[in-house]
Amino acid sequence: MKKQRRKTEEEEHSDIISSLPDCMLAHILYFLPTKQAILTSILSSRWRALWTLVPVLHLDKPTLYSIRTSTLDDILLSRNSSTLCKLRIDCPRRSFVDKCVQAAILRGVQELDLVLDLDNQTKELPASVFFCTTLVVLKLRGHFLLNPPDSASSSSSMFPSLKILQILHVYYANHNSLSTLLAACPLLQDLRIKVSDSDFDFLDKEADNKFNIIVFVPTLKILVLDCSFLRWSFKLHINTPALEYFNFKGDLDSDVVSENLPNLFKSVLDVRSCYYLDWMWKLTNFMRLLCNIRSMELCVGTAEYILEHSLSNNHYDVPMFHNLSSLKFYGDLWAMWSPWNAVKLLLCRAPKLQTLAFELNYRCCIHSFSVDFPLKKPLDVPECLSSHLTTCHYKGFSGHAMELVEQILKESKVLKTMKITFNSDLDSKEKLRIHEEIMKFSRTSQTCQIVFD
Amino acid sequence: MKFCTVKQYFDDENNNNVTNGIATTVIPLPNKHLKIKANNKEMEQYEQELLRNVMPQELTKLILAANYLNFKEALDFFCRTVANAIQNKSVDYVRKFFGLESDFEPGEEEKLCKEFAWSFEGVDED
Repeated sequence: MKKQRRKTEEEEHSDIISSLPDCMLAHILYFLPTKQAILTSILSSRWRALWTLVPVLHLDKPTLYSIRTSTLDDILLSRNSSTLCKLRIDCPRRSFVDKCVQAAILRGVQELDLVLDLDNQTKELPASVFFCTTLVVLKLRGHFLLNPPDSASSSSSMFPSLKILQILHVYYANHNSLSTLLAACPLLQDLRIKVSDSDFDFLDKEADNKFNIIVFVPTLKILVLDCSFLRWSFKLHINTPALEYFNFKGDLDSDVVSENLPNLFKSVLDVRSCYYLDWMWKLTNFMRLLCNIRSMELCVGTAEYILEHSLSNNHYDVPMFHNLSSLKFYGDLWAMWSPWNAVKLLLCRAPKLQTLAFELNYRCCIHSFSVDFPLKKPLDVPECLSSHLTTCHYKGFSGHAMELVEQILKESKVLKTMKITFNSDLDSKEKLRIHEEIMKFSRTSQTCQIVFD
Repeated sequence: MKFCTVKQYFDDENNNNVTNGIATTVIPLPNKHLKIKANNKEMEQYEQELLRNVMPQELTKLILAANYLNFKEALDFFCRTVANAIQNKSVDYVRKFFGLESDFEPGEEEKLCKEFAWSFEGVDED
């Protein structure tokens, strides 16, 4: 009797992992990097093909160096028709990318994340990608040449299921490549693009055409656009009635028009100054479309430009943001410059502001001159400080721009919380010194608590 | 919703042997799950504890339990724990961990090993 019982226990011990069904084992492999998952095929005959059931494949250079092409061929083109949900490739082989992408499309792939790094060559995106009916997410980066087929000439619609599109540095075949692509996506909700000068290497530079970034997408909810430092002139036109989040980093030099943004909730702005006389006018027009937002993040450099331009030009002003309840200043803070006046100017435009935040990186500057702009007349006391501002949070505080903290504590009448999160670089002695100094500042609000993190 | 199936789970015949062990781990799960959202560090610590105190076969049962209870976050957590336990480990270690035995023909396993030792070489007509 004893012997029998022991046997059962041993069997149970060894069989327990095998009692899990294939899909559970594949779920465990899902949490491993693909390279490791592939290696489990050596474990036993049952595990031979288990990794092919994992719905996600990440094929990067280290993974591809450790297995034979024939193995890869087996899985990709296998008779096992399980859906491949996500394929990520980061590899420098053009034919391989083609093969993988085709196989993935046959297996109903929903997410494609393609990074292509070729030395001096490009590769056109396979045509089957544009017409893939199951694709929901597409991320592209690298030496792809974006040349979307002309929608008029094709019988089926392009990207019928695509909701998320991210393009980070690809080559464009012609001036309308991007616009054609965007116009063809019927369900697009999330669009993130970064454009740089090298992306236009293949455009016909003789022609006097601007590169068109026309975003007329009625379903778009999130738009992140980085076209900063472009020397190539472009035309940006945005008309997105469903847009809720707009993150823009760029110049207003070129042709920039935005319209029809009734649902915009939050905006993140990093707009560089140019030395055209009408910069303030352009900025005012640009920001006017944003004036109903509830939340804004503004690059502190942009705030500085606004202060600088408004001092020299009295005609145009940043519009009033009547619904703004949360405002954050982010970016690099250069030495010897106190941003308080720039912050104050913006605070004057947000009468109902409740939450103010800062996340500034202090940058040392070789020059020791102060770049404070002399004010012709002192700025008004912002209304929000008297009536609405209850929370202020300074993240990554390193002890610089103390004036910000001091002034806010002094002028806020209803402030409840001032939260200071220290920069991780500070040592405890510094933190203590800053703590003591801040506790000495006078506070107008009786209920104000200062919290240190 | 999650707790009504727990009773059914205990009533099922195949679970009599290890009911108690699982109960003590599975029942506190919903609280842990709330913590997942709150604090990643705590979950890491819990994961370490789990790996130290719980045998692989217990983990397997936790996975089955979480699946039966339709508790996705717990299922993901336990599967991820197992994956982390075998990541970067040798074939022999993983076999021992899972209690597996190689059932390949003598030459087959060697062949497989060779396949993975080859570096990637496509028939590259680029």
